Amino acid sequence: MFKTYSSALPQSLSRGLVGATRQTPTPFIQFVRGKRTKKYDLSPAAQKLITQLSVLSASRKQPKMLKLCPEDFVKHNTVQEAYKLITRKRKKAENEKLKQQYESMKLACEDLSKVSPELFEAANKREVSKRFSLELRVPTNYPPNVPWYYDYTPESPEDKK
Amino acid sequence: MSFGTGIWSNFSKRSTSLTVSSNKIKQGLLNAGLPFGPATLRKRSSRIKYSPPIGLSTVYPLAYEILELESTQIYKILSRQANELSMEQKEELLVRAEYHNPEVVFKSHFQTNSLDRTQPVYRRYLREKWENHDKMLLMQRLESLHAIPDTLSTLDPRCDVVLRFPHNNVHTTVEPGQLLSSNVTKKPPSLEVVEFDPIPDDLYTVLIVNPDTPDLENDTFSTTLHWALRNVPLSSSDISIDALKLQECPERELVSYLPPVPDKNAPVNRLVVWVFRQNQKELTDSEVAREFFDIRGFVAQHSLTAVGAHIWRSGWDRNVPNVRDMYGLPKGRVFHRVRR
Amino acid sequence: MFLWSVSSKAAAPGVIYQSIKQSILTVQIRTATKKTAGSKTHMKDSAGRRLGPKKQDGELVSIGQILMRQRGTKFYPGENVGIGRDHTLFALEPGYVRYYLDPFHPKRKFIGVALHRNIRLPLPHWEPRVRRFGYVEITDKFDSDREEGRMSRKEHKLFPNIEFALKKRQEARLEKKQELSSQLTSFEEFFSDSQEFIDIASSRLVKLDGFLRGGKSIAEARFYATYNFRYDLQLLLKKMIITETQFDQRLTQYLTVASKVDDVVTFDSHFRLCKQLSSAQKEELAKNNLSKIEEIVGNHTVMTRDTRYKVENLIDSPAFDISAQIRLRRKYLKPVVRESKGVSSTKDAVIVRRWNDKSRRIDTISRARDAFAPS
Repeated sequence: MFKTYSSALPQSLSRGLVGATRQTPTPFIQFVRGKRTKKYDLSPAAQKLITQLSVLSASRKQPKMLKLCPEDFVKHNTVQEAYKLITRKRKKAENEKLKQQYESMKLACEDLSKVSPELFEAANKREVSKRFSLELRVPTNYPPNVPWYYDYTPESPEDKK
Repeated sequence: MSFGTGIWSNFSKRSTSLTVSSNKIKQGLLNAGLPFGPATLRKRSSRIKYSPPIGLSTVYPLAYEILELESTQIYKILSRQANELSMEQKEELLVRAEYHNPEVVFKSHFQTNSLDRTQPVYRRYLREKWENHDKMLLMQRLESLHAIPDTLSTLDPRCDVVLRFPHNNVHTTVEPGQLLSSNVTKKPPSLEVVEFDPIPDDLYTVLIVNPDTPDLENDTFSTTLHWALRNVPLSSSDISIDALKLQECPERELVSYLPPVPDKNAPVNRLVVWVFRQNQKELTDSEVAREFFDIRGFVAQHSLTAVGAHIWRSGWDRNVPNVRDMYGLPKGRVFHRVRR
Repeated sequence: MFLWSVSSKAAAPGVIYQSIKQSILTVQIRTATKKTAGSKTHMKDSAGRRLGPKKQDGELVSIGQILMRQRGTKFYPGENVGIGRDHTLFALEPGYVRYYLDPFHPKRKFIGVALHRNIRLPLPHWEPRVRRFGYVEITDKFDSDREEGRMSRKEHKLFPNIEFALKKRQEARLEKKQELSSQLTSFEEFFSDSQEFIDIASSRLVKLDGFLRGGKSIAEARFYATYNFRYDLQLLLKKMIITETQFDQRLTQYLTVASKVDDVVTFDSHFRLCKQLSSAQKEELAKNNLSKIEEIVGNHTVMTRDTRYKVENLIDSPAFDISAQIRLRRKYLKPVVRESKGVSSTKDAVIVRRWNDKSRRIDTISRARDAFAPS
């Protein structure tokens, strides 16, 4: 492919010409010495900006620090402190709730072990592919709408077909 | 609730030092925006050029309300359980109630010279400022100059000690470790002991010792006592130990001031200032030897608690003979330049 | 196999040998095994560097003696020991060598020098250091005086400048004292006072002036001037240069002078001598001056040089402190009248170009000629 065009272009020593001809076989390009033949997606002005920025170091490209007057500095701090306070309170409440849920589950398990050790054993029986015991169930905010499927039967592979 | 109606605008029980005195700045802090512009900026051009950050004016009233509500609750706890709480707990709650008050924050960041030290929150801010720089600097100087352990074994600084020599024209404080000329140190210094704890109204002892006095007999150094003060009362309003205070009651000066007069070619002398709390006990001891002073023994004997320290250095200079002459001291020793 | 098949046909052993010789041995060549140019690992061993300990534990050493030669820090310099460029350890003080471990650096071995035979290293961490003074006193009077007078090259070169500056300062102080004493005698309260009184008073005023310029308040300055005088006098008494009666006499004399001077005169915000005013008098004067300024500025919309001087003089009064003076100057002595007043469109207007911060452009404004105060 290259050979065929090279015979047509004796001046193929130019910078971008060969590549361009290889990708998009245009019939013939008049070579002008020093003229840019590379294709750019961006406008020349934008490209120039990118080139200039590439020369600058990263630290100079940081956005300028906000210049706040003392009043606004205090206000900014106040907003941050208020946000911290809210988050702290929310997190504390969440943790508290989770702790309570865990405690009640633990109590229920203990009750069960006293009332009927067999049932407790059965509930805590190690099952294949069940890594954690019943007490370690991940606490959720609400109990499920349908707590237990009593008449559950696993789908037989024939039904699937 | 909005600005000007909550606990932070109520001064019936709170001190008025918790508010900003300038009305323009106050209005800037107690409004969503800046009604008088950025009043703290000095230049008119920078005031015109200034544009506040986007969105701050909408979110700031909410933030103020949240923090003020928290403060109200803390004050409620304080009033309800006033009798059950200990001194430290009360102090901590008072700090927490005001710590995020924008007016207090403004004052403790930008008006540090005129803070009311009777308010726990300002004391907390001052302590934080001191711990972030001056305390570290002091400890670094004490350790690198080996004032610790050459004088006392160690120090847990509880108060800031500000040292100056007021008999001079230049009215500046001495940075720990500074090398001072004999002209500066020829008369006694004055001290400010800035306590950050709830003020105990205690008596204080001040010792200035020099652990670098040559002891030629044993070819080593001995400690000399240069100044000793005792039973100096300090409180939150009165923190200075100066000539005025000592003139009132001369018995407080246990050992009179002796300026540092180093010998020619001897190493630079370290003058270590130690400030002790006496734990409400009076010091009645009258006989203290200046030469070969045992500071550790003295501290143990009177069961003093070291709360602050300072250090400066003095070397020989051309004025030392004049100072010796002024105090009627004998002519100074001259040592060989080369150490053998 | 091939060879054997050949040899089986020819019976004579000499023939076999010949055939083997031709087929195998002739192709073997003994090449030189000794390399002529040498390899990179050849001839690289050096003589021993004589490393190792040069002093054992407990040996008595003097300053500068080498304790250990080593590559890297196999041993670290401990108490009174220095380390050289090639990690050689040497003694910094005379004493007894100690090889020891330090609990603060559990992975390091130390070599130290104990100043006395009974000292074990490391020394207790919280105890004072054991130090040697090491300097010898010069007992000969001539030698000691010469050594005391010796200056470093730097000090020697600077000394004339220092002396000159000192002399100039003393002269300036004397000049100031004379100036102040002449000013003091112009106050009617001091007309009848003796020369000695004026002398003491003016020297006190020089001290006050110095304190004020250094940043003290007038009350502090007065206190420390008195304090310094009393302190110096007490030292004279202690040295027995003056007697008790002389001390009392001089002190009371000074205190009476000081109290009278403090009652009558003080320094204004520009450190000039002025009359001491009570707070009521100060208020009165301030009120008077303010009303006068208002009168002058209110009557004359255009500031002339004359009115400017008048207002300057009224502001520059002991009634106002420095911040009040600045505020008043800003208010009444504006170099340029406000633009709402002083814009002109006549021919003799002054064209002013200035940067507008709001529009971020240069504005061109024509101002009336009298909008600018004469300097």
